[in-house]
Amino acid sequence: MSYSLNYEYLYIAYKLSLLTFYIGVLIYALPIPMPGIKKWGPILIQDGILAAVFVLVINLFFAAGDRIAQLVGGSWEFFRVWLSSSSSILITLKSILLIIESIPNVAGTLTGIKSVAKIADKMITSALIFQAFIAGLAWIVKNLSGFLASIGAILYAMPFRIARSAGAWIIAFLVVFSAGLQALPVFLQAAAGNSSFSGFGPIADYGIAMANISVEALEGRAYTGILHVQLYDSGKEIARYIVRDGYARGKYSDEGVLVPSKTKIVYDYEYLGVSFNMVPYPTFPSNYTVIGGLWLLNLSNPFLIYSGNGVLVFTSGSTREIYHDDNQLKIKIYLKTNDYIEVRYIKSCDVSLSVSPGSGSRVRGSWSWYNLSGSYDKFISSKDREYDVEIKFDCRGSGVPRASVKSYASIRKIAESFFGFNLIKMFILYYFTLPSLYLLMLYSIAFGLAKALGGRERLPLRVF
Amino acid sequence: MTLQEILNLIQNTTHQITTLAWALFLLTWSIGWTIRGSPIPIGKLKRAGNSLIEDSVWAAFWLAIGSTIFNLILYIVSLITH
Repeated sequence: MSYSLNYEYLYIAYKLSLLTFYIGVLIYALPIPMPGIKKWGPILIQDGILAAVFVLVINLFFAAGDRIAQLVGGSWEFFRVWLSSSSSILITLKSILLIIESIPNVAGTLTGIKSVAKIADKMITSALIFQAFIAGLAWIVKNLSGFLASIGAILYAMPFRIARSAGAWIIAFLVVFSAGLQALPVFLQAAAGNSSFSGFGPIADYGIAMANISVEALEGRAYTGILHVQLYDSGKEIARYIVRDGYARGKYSDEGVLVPSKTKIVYDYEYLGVSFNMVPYPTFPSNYTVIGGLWLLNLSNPFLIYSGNGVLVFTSGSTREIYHDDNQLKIKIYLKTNDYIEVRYIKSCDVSLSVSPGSGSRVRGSWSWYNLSGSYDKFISSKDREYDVEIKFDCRGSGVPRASVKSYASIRKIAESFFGFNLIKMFILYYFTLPSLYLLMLYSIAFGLAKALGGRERLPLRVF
Repeated sequence: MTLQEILNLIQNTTHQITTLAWALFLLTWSIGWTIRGSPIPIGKLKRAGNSLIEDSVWAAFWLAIGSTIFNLILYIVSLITH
């Protein structure tokens, strides 16, 4: 990323370094033979030159910091994913703990679990506050670094070292933290991957994962709809998410949704009353790509041609070619006898379906699904052959269903494994202790760098 | 006070200081030679005069080379950053 430094401030800093230099020269030229005053001459001359160099290469410091972060595998994107997924996991756990705490304790049977829940709740609350603190730091470093670094340069270049250490500290802090925060998830992963910490780290080990799931039609991603998560064995629905702009969205985070990480499941995409079993079918934990604790999955279905806002096009044949323009789809499709292609749309849409050659029958009707209702237009083939289909649509209004999200977090399962005290300990280690350790480390590096930038008190310049 | 005014203030001050430094160089240099060349046989005084001369020569050196140094820095940095 680029740090937009304030060049007016930098110019002032540069001019200040010139001023520092010439004050040094003036002191050299003073006809007063007092070492107490004269010692400032060489110091200020050196400071002036150093400050000028520093002000001009300040960009390089940031570039070097970024480069180091990239070398170890960090990036702001990685940091954002880590922060977002870990905080939404913490919030989910907190809500589960609140539920447990609110269960009435009849005859004292739940005293044990409730007392642990109370402690865990406090720990998770503090971990959440800490995460917010890290997020705040990242925000400052990302958004204010240009401005702050320019101010730091001015402070650095002031004559007589009035604010030199303050300026050095600001710049060292920004450089170290902008590189260090990007690499934070890398550090945590490396620590969690250490085998001496068994049962420690990614929440996926406890049967739950944060997943970023995209729902793809043959033409583009699904605009909206409902994604059901079902158990493969029993068909029971364990979670339900709303699809927005191609991705399943949960309650707390736009980065992803909670899914089981150890069970064979089926993703069922439903829109306008039609549901599709999405491929991979069934979905195994090994089907996901895991990046930075976030599980990625693309769902698709060969019969789902297009799913827009209030429009759904699907078939039972095989699609050969699709051409998509703003409000128009041209499809080459092979249909066997009794195969069909259907377009469904909400009331506020104008849709026309034309098929050539027209060797088949047309069925029209209406449907209603959640808060939406509309019509469908279906072409059923009477021969085995290829057709050219043209669909024009013009939609106004929203095609988003008013359905509730049901997040996956099997309270019983998590409670069973989570409320081993050991697990809570590990959890806090991962989300609280290790990050704070890391931040302390960054702090001390920043301190060291500031000292290096601030330089020693006396610089041996006199060459007599 | 706008940024431009701050900038002008700094630049004017730098300019005044440079002028003053040239004047002081001449003064210090003459005072130094005066003390050094005076017929007073006190070694300490002579050494003080000598150090004034040396300091003033250094000051003149830095004054003369100052703008060159800063331009050189600008040039080298522009070589590195582009």
